[in-house]
Amino acid sequence: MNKVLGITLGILTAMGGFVDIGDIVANSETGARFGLGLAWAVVVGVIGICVFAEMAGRVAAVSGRPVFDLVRERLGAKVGLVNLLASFFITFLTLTAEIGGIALALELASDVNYLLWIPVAGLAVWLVIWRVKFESMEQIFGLMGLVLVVMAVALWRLGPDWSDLAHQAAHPAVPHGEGHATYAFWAIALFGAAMTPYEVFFFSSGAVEEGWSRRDLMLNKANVFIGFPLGGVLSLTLMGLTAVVFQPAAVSVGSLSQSALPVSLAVGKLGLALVIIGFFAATFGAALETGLSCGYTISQYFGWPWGKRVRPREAARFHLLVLVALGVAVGVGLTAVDPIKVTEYSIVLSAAALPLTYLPILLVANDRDYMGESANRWLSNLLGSVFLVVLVVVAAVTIPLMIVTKAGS
Amino acid sequence: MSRVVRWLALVAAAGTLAGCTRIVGPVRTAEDYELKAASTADAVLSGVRTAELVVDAADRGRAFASYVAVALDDAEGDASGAAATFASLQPPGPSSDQLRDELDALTSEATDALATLRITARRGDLDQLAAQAEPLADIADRLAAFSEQHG
Amino acid sequence: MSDPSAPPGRELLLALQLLDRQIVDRHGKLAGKVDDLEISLPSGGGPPVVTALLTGRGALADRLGGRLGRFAAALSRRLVAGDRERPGRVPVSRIADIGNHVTVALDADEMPTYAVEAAVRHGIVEHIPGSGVKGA
Repeated sequence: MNKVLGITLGILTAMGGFVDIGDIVANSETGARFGLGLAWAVVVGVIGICVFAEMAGRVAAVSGRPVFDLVRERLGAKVGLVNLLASFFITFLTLTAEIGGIALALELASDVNYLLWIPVAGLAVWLVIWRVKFESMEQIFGLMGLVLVVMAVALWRLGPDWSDLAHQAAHPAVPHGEGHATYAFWAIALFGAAMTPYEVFFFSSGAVEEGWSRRDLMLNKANVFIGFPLGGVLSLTLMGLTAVVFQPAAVSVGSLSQSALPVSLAVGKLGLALVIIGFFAATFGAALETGLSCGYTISQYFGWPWGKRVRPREAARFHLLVLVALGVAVGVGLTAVDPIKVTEYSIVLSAAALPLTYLPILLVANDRDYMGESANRWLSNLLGSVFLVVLVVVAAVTIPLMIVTKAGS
Repeated sequence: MSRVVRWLALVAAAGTLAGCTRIVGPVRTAEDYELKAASTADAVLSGVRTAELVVDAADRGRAFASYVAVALDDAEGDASGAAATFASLQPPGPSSDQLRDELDALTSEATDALATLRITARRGDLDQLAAQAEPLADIADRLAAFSEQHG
Repeated sequence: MSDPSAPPGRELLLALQLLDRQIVDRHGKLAGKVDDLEISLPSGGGPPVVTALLTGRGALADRLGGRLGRFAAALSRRLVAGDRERPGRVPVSRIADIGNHVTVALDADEMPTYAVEAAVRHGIVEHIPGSGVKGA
């Protein structure tokens, strides 16, 4: 019975924890602009993250080491270093975006300018990382994020033309007035938002933090194959909401307040409160994950002690890294750079770096030295390889598209 | 190996920087200017329509005061930002001046109305919003017409 | 010549199975990675022998080479007290086991690379309340 509870909890946590500021921004903006015409990009992204997160979790459970830890020894120090630099930079950028997201959510609740919330957010994130137990941290924010299901209620209450929505999703087309390059750019943005690298670093390191072993392979599969797709459904629901409310009015979404508006209109004050809490939980949880991942990546490359499972004084450099990363992220946020813009860049640059961060996972998961009998079977390898080809193509076109479309405008 | 990596990194950095810059230089042709005017009208329209929706939510008791204030502030910020960007553009020639004046009048009306709403909302007088939002529908229509005509 | 402290008869492919591996101390604590290997020519003649694992203190930067590598190595050596010229050295005699990682018969704080971790610990982390409490 306990096992079922554990698995259920894991699924719920994964579902609630799936959405972050990148997903919120990308799904809101594309829904308003393209209706459900880019829903397929989210679906493909979710499949991708499932395939690779399952591998990353399996590697951690079987070998006792997170996947990033193994990149250096499997691919060599030089390649590992390039991987580290790209991964760290993107993770840090995402952290900055999430801190901004927390501040924006708090602003919605309080009407206190978000800039004042940024240092508060940074401090709160650090305090939770410093003191709260890893599993508790995951469960609290994962489950809190579940309140986002109010978005599904809102969509249903709006009474949209379901067959029309389904048609839009199933027959992707560039709407009148939008260019093909912009459409492709936003498809990549959604992709990057669904597959941000920190998710696999964190998932893999988290598995080690929680002491997963071979017995937890089932839990791994459940979290990934049920939790993540359900989280993806939440993202798509947000896309649907902005499609129904904003697209007919030719409104373009550029602020978090707009993302919450459909729920307010459909469900009222309670719904609005819930969706703001949901945005807060999503961004706070993601800030915890990206903050820790900033520490994980560097510590694991150099072999330093890392993680919350040892006392902070035993992993001094790791904790210093996290502290500094948070400090700099707060600093960047305080320059009043638009958090939505930072988010857009973080997801697009993530898309550009995906092959670099995902190829090592595929290689490590195939290595019988670490994995023994749990190494990839043909299906994981097939899916993984197909995705890698897709990721390379995506990465190749991302920067040119960004230039051509002026970052999607 | 490191040379390839260095080259790739340079390309990526250059591309990122290029994508980042939204430096708006002088617009060369009257057609381009007209298109920019139309897209500015679209952006301002977006702010106005968002404000209408927010006021609707407030009026029906579906949103609380702090949210309404922030949402209206955001809408105003989006609209005035777009208008300011356009105003900073050098018109290519005297023939474009009339277009500029026309759009300027429209956007000023819009941003004034949005500012009034924002101020009222911040004071917590949500019940007054609906009345103050009445001009928005007409402004929106004119912005839409402008965009249609020049876009 | 095979590594004298490895189980008899086992041969290792150095680059694949020893270099860049995680070093773990006798208590299971993480203690850096094998950044480089010290290979010496025995004085009595014979083929080269691995005499030590090199870790920390610029060893990795030295191995990666290039201008950036040399700069990083010099910086690293400046930051850490101790023998300015030489990287952290773990003699081969102290290797307890080589498998998925390298286990050494030392405590992490006996290792030459411990200096930076200790500096950060004593200089910064210990001063923050709660640093002695397990947060997991």
